[in-house]
Formats: sequence, structure tokens, C-alpha cells
Amino acid sequence: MREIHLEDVDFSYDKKTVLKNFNLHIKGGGFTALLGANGAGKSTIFNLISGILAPDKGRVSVGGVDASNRLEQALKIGFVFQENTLDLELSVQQNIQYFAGLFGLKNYKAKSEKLLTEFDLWEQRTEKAGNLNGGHKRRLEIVRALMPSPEILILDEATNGLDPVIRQQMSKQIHLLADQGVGVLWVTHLLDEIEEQDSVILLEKGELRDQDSFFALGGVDGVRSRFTVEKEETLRL
Amino acid sequence: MSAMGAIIWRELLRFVHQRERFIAALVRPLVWLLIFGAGFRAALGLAIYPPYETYIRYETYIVPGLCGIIVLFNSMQSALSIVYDREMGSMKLLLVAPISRQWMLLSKLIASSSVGLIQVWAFLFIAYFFGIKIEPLGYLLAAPAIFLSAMMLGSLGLLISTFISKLQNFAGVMNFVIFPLFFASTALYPLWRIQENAPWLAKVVSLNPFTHGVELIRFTLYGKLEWVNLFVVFTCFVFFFSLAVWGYQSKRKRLKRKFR
Repeated sequence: MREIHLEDVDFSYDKKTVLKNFNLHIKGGGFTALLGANGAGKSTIFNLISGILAPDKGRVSVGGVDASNRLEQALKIGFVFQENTLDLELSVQQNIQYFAGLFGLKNYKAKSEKLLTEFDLWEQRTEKAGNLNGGHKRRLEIVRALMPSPEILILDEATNGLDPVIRQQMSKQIHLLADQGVGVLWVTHLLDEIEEQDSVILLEKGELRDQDSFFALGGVDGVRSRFTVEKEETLRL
Repeated sequence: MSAMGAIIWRELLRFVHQRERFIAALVRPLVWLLIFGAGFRAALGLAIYPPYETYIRYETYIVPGLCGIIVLFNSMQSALSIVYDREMGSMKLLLVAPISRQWMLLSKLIASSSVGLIQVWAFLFIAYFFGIKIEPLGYLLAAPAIFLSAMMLGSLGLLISTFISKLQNFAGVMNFVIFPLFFASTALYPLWRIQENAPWLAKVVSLNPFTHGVELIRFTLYGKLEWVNLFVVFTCFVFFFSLAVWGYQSKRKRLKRKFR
């Protein structure tokens, strides 16, 4: 299983420093939640790991390989973005076909059929992605990310905007994937998506507050007590 | 299907789905041809001027320029869709794909240029029924010229998109790009006429890369080639594309702002 390393990373947008001498080591395997309030730097870390952005200083690597090396990394890490990345004018199947072409996947049909069935999207396969409800759209994004059978799945606020019931369902499905051997990094600000055995990384204002299992950190109360600002508004129960 | 094939396939599929876009792309030059062309026919008499070997109607003269405006609008619309994709986040999927950014941008360009070529052919097909008749071979010979001009203008659009972070700003900038490029070119009036009336403007027109794109299309439609036009269009394509690639590299500050 591949490990994620951020070593002495500096990153800033214009004059605003987001990360300064930032170090993070995420062990491979299992379910890890990267938890922090809005503006803590979670999405920046996500964009650095995905190679979309490069650090001003330091190194970001996955499995020992630089994160910006897309040719090496693309099929080993699946990404689910906070924003919609589906083509809403294409059907479910066409979105998958486009993804398969983009990522050079051959003989993808059997795999896509299996995943569409698992994620309850088989009946919608000919529908336009734009006509799907929010939960189905997110599931389709997950199906697509799983198409190359990645070793790691990284999700950035993947349940954003979904109702609590669907959020819980999705969280369970992703935990199930982790149990099946896919390493999961779940970027979130919602505490109710985390289970006791999950590893948790607490992030605040671009700094690592703590890193341990959710249980060892004292569960919901323990995690909340470690944050100093805006916890009522931005860390939801 | 390769990554480039997938990007082109998606763009063509989008084009098929967006019928309004196709109709708008045809209506614009047809209005110019049928209304503007008829109105200005008397005002702007033409001499025999290469590549034409006889007197031609004004409508015939402006057809290559209208082909140019089709690819110009299409290229800028494509650049606009990139800004939209980036603002909405869907560009991220392309950025994590196992392809280099140069390849991704080149694929996007080829896709939009292919759409531009289809639009121009559709326009020429309709124009045929309004008396704009070109030798059959001309349609084929002009295809690489139209495509290359679309690649050059698409690269310019890409380059502009690297400087723009918000969709609404992009629409404004387009007005400062599309109209000066179009009006300060030989799309609507030949260079010698501009030279007679405004020598300073003639200099601007001859420096305008869009002029060379239009002239490249004009000559190839009649089975001829002006090497200077080909050279300028190709050089501008390489120049604009190189700068656009530079702008899209992940370490560039502008890109950082866009994915903030």
C-alpha cells in the first residue's frame, strides 16, 4: 500500500501563506480522515497530492514518486473532487467512456458494469448525467475514480451538499471500500462521517494539530476540544 | 481510445448536442453575407486582385473573411469553455489524467479546430446556394488552411484564458480581441483599399495574424498558396501555443489563483 508524504512544504496563494514547513505522513491502507474547518488548508493539500498544484518549496510524494508525475500516479490514485467534474451533457455511460479514453483504460466495460451495479447506477446508465440527482452524481464520480482499480482513493468533501441520509450511505460505502483494501483519504469537515477505528488528521490554519485514531483522540468531543476557532460553525456534528 | 481521441470525441459529441451553438455559428456569417454583403456591394467596388482572376462580387470577396470569423468565434468560445470548466472545477479531471499539459492543451485545440472546420464547411455549403461557387477541389485544399488558422486562433484564446480567472472577465476581454482582429484585417476589404484611405491602418492590418489566416484561406480556396501567410500563421500558432503551455504549468502563480 502506498504512503503519502508532504515534506517541508511551503505553499502560498499570492501573498497569503497557506502551508509553511508543513510535514505530513499518511500511512498506506485503511480509512484516513483529513479533518479541518473551512480554510484550514485541506483542499490545498488535496490539490498538492493530486499534482494539480506544485509546492513552492518541499516535496509531495505518493509511494515514493513525486505527486506531479501524472504518468506514474494517475492509475494508482483515484480522485473525487469537491466540484462536479462530470460532463452533464453526456450520459452516464458516455462519461465513463470519456474517462476510460482519457486514462487509457482498455477492456473497461465489464468493470464499469460491475461498479455501476454496486453503486446502484445501472438503471441510470443511459441517462444524461445532468438529469441525475445529487447523490447519483457523486456516486458516478466515485465509480469513475474506481475504474482503474486504484490503490488509493482520495475524496475532497465528496458529500458536500448532500442530505444526511445519502451522506451516511456514501460514508458507509467508502468505509466498505477501505475494508476491501483500497486506501482511503477522506477530506472533510463533517465529524459524523468518521468511525472509531479511522485514522484522523486534524488540521487548523495550515498546521497539523494532531494525528491518531478517532478513538484515541477521544471521539467527537476529543476532536472538537483540539480545535481553537470556529468549531461550532465549521465542524459539524 | 487514446486520451487525445477521448477529448476530440467529447468535443464533437458536445457540438452535436449543442444545436443552438451550431445554428448561431452559421447565422452570424450568413447575416454578414446576405445583408452586409448586399448593402456594401455597390459601395465597395473591387479590382481584379489575386487570387481572383476576374471581377468578383463583393459577397465572394468576403467569404474567406467570414470563414475566418467562424473559426475566430469558435476558438474564443472554446477558450471560454475552458475558463468555464476551470471555474466549475471540471478541468481538474483533465489535470490529473496521465497526459502532459502540453498534450492536453493540444488535444483541446485539435478538438475545437475540428469543430471549427465542420462549421466552415457547413457555411460554405449553404453559401453555395446563394451563388458563392468555389471549385470542388478548393473546399478540400482550404481545409488544412482553415484548420491551421483555427489552431492559431485557438492558441491565442488559450493564451488569453491563462490571464483570466473569472468567466465574466473573459467575455469582456473577448470584445477587445474579436472585433479589433476582425475589423483590422482583410476580411471585409482588401489591403490596397485600406492603403489608399488609411496607410497607418494598412500597416496594422498587415501585422494582424488574423489577416494572414484569412488570406491563407482565401488563396487555398482557389488552389493557390501564399507562403508568407502560411509562415505567419504557423509561427503565430507555435508562439501563442508555447506561451499558453507556459501559462498552464502548475507552478505559475496565475494558475494557483484559479484553483484557490
